[in-house]
Amino acid sequence: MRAAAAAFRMQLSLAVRTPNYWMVVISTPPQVVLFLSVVDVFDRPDLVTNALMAPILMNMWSASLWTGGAVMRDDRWLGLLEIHAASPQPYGLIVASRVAAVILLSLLVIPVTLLTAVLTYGVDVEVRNWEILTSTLTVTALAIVGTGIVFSSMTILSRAAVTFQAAASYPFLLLGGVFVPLELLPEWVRPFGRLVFLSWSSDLMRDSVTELVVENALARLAVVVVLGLLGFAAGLWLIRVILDKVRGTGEISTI
Amino acid sequence: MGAVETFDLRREFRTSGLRRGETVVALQDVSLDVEEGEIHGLLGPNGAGKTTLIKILSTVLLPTSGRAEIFGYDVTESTKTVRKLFGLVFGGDRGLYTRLTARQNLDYWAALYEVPTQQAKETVERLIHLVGLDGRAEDRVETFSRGMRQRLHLARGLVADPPVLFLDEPTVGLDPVASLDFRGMVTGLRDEGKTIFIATHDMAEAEAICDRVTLIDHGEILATESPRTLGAWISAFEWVEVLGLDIETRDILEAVPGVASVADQPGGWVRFQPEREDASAEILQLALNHGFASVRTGYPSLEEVYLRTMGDRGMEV
Repeated sequence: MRAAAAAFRMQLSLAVRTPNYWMVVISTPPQVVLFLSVVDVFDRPDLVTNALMAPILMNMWSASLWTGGAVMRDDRWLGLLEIHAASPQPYGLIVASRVAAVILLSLLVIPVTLLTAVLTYGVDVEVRNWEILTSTLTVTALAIVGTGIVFSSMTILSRAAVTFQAAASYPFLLLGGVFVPLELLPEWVRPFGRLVFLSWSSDLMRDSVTELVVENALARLAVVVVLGLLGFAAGLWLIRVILDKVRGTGEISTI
Repeated sequence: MGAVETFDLRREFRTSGLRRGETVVALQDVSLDVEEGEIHGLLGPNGAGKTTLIKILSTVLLPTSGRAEIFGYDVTESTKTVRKLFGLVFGGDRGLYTRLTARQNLDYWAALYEVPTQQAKETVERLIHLVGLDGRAEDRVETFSRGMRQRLHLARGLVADPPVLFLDEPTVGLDPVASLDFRGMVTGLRDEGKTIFIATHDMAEAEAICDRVTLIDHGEILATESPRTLGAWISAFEWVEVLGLDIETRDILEAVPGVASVADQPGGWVRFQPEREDASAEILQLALNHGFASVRTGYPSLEEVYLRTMGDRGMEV
């Protein structure tokens, strides 16, 4: 656990000094304005919650994909992947801790989103069920870490990983019902969406803002946890398998 | 039992690109023995297989066949145990988090090697002092010179106090003063009982610090020699160049016993390549006596030594 904590701290130190890690926070205000302007133009105050949840989840997801992916890719370019691979610690644990640090920082998009909404459109957000909202945010953040590990591992497999990350992002956000709730999407899409933990998270978050009592909240939270754990397990397994593979092929380094 | 041993170690790679699918042999049945407490050099030109061997020994690359052991532990079977027995140090800019400070880098690796917290603090402090970074420990690595980075690399490799150190071209790109400084630290570590396996293409470096040197080329071990033998090879082939020679003096110098060849070089220089140890001194003296003060000497490249020694004597060196 000490190694994991050290990796977490190290990534925080690294992130505060690296502008790339702040991009998700910087890009949040324009997105908030964009979504709120759509709501405003079409005079749909009932969609304000959607307009606020969307940039939060989108940017946490982006942090996971882009900066999480950069962890392993940068280590490889810096010759640090080899040194990590030669160390006694499982590299998956290190990546998980470092992605978790990135996701923790990405939670800053929440106050930035709310502040932007207040300052630009004078939105007054009233949360009906704080417990469910914070619980959902917590398990969603952990599930996003799992996804980040999966995408991080893929950067070693393919030089086109960045393109893949970009391409993979939107289908997941769409299936996750991040802006448009899943029930508004075509019926045949919905079963696929239910396999993406974001769809459960976004529904729960919307409900926790608008409803005092959220129906089946614990069961729905459990689904996010299970899907998140599956992502976690898949990510750790992938890193182990991929490192074993590149130890065989010699592709562990870039030179 | 040696500290590091390899037995018929072989590594093949599959090529990509235009020659996709071809097999390239990076190491051919390499067997060597590094004794505990020695500095053992692995000397060879670029592409000889030095880095491949270090990667296999440091568990980041699997051998195609054969085996390697560190203190009797097989690097492919007892990976976890083996990883606690060595430190890995690269040369160049790679291997450090440059946006972090020197101390943050060392703290991080100390935690990854599970050095107890209090001991880690003391070790990091001692290593910072050892590598002469006392005044720069809180500075970001990106502000460091090449030499300082290399010293920090060494400190990182030592953070878990491993009995074996693998150094892969550690002085590449360093200026002569920094190289000398680094070599001094390496010999100091040998005196503390560390076993050091250093890959280099620098003959002078190998001669200066190694107890034994293994020569490798095209993935094959050619010989394991003492630096004394290596030194004799180097000095035997020290060339002399003289600027603006007239024909008469050129003939005189060419007639010096032991001169193997004479060749014109760009800029009006003439190179005399001896094949005997004392010939270069005589050429130098004669050139000066005849009023040619613009002279320079140099050592042959590793490839030239291979060509002239091993090329003639094959595996019998």
